[in-house]
Amino acid sequence: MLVNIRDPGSARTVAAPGAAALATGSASAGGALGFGDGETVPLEAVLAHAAQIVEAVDLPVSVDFEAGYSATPEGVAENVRRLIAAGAVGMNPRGWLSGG
Amino acid sequence: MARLRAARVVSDGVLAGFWINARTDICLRAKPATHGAHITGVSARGAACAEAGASSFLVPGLRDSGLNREVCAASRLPVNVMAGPEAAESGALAAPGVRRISYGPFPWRAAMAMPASYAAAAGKPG
Repeated sequence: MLVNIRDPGSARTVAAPGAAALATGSASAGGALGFGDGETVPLEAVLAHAAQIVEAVDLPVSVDFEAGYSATPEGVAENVRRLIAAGAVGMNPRGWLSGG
Repeated sequence: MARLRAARVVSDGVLAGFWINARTDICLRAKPATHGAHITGVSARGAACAEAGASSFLVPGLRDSGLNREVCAASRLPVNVMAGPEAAESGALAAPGVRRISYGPFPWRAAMAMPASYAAAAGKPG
């Protein structure tokens, strides 16, 4: 079972009982930042938020990274590189498959 | 799918084992009663994700334990599903091959329900 987190505070709450890893939810994290789902949060804010969450806990953190914030493979590659630099160990991309 | 391959290549270069949980929203968009007709399409996407370098396959919206087993049986990748608290706790989604059941946006919605109700009450006259 994985209880998706939305910010550093909920990360600590979910980590406390002994979670092995954490994962954000895009609607949740977007909502906590005052935005909605679907890449409405600016990329810079997503990366900064991810880094804050990683900093708050001693667990691996996977980030709901929407569609990678780019329509091109080259753009996605750069954004994934930055996501990893922010400290994420995983992601759950959506919208990359033909037909959904 | 080119973006999935690009993500795999770049992540392999900087962080070995970076976990890509590739997602199809077919069952999230389709009505649950029609999910049976979509399982072939779901499994085809899972195979394509495996080929492109995904670490696992996320199928939010899948609710039926039998269909869940079918997806798992056909998938080379570990399968992850998403559920509201009731479905998650009932065990209906547990199946051989299911790696992870996540709550998605439900904890966020639940957390906001209380301040929303307080605010609504505070806004009423009297």
